[in-house]
Amino acid sequence: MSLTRTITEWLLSRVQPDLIELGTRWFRLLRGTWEDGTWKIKTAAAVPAPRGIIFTSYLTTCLFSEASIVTAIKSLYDGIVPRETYATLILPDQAFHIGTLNLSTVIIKANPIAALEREVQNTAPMPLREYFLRFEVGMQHGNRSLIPFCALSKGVIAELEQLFQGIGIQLMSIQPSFIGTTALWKQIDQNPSPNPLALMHLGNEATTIGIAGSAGLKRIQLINVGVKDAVNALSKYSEMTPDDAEAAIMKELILLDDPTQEAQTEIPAYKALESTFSTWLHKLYGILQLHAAEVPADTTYRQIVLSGGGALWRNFDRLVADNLGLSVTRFESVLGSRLTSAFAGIDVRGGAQGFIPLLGHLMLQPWKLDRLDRMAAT
Amino acid sequence: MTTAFEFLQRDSRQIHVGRRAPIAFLVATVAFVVVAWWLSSSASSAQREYTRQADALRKRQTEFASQAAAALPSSAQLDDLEMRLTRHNEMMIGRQVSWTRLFALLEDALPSEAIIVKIENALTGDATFNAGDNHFKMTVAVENADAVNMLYMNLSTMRGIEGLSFTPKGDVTTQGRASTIVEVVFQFREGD
Repeated sequence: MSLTRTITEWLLSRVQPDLIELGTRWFRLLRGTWEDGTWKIKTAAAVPAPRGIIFTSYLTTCLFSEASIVTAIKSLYDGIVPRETYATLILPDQAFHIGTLNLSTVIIKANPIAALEREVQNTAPMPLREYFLRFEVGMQHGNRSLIPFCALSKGVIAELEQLFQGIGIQLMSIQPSFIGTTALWKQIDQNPSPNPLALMHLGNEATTIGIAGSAGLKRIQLINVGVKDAVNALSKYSEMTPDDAEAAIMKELILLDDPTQEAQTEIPAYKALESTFSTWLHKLYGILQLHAAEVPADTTYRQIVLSGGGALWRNFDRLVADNLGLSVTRFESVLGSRLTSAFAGIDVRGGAQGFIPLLGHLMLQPWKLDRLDRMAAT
Repeated sequence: MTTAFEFLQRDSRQIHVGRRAPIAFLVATVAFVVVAWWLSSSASSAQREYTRQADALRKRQTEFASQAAAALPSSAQLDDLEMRLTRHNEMMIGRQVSWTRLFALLEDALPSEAIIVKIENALTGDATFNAGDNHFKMTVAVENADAVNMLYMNLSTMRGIEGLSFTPKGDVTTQGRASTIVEVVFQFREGD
């Protein structure tokens, strides 16, 4: 057994999977290690995502232009994928049917799977047999427990496995993006508190909101409104290209330093974005209220942490803070110099902040000895 | 956290050994087999050569031994040669007594319980001997009767001892031990 273990450890130490994130805005590649509290990044690359990829929990497929996707993935490796390349695949959260159930502890103990499947089927857009369902029995409050769940279409998994096999990349893991963000926050949170906080990741097509405590994730919800919706709204209103619209939201004074001022409503671009902003704020407020109602101990929120492309918008954090009455911070600013030093000397398109979920996943390297879900190399 | 949301099936999460490793393993295995076969052949060949040379050496050893045995003169020839040498010596310088041979005979004849006390010239009664004097009177102290009998038997059967006279003289204490004194008279004649 010791010989087998030694060989396995040697193989695992040699096989360090790359992290590949397939988004609808960017494809990203990250290769490196997390050791002694610091990232040692060897390679980081990002290329614009082709149009032929759609992630949604409503479809059993995600590839609509395989050739362009293959080209984009290969371009992460400068056109040539090295032999014996292993990868952990990170998918955007909207690819999954995500939610959180609040079930009776008695039911969970009696027959958790049946209860869970029944509850998930109530919200899942497709029959449950079309999904692989994963869940975690989380925080218990009173006689009930919160159960974050996540379901991914079997067809999508098969399609992606086949795609990467064709490219010559052996997949070792498929996980949603929010796992990395949550794990990273848990690692860097300097002031853990019993009061929960909201992690709001503004993705390109959807926004993920997680309620996290010092022990980890309590609740996860998905809002089908993303950066793309705001960009499209502004692009349509201002008759500019989506890229120009994105740059405008990022840099121009669309949101005032005090967005509650009456002058805010007089900015034309804001009018175009108001409904999208309103949706975000209402959904976020609703989720915070829902959680506080279901978990009476969590009525006081610590703060809201913004990440994703939308977090970079000028004064967006002020908009959220002023409307919800909570302090808001940017994930990127909490990371601060650690993010800068991790990417020192590495120039990546789209900015280093886009790699935040990947950095979190890098900390969860499945080849680490202390991991529970080590790769099945044995 | 995080362990619950892995969507790739366990069967798919496997390290696949690439092409280079099996090729390297195959080449190493073939090389190992070839080297092992070569070493085995060499060892067998060396063993056969060793056996052949060992057999040849043993054969030559036997031949040398036979040749050496054939080269040695027979005991009859040696006795004849000795007798003739003695005769020639006597013709040239008269009869001689070899004290070395005499004492060699006496050492063989004396049992461990017997010691020689005195040797005299049997003709003169003195302890002086001329070159041809071969009559000896020897006084021997013997511990018991068995040793006396053995001494007599040994001397009487020896070649070169003639005219043996064996006379017990009584008991004495010699070197702290009780013993019987025996007077032995004989004529030592060698080469006859």
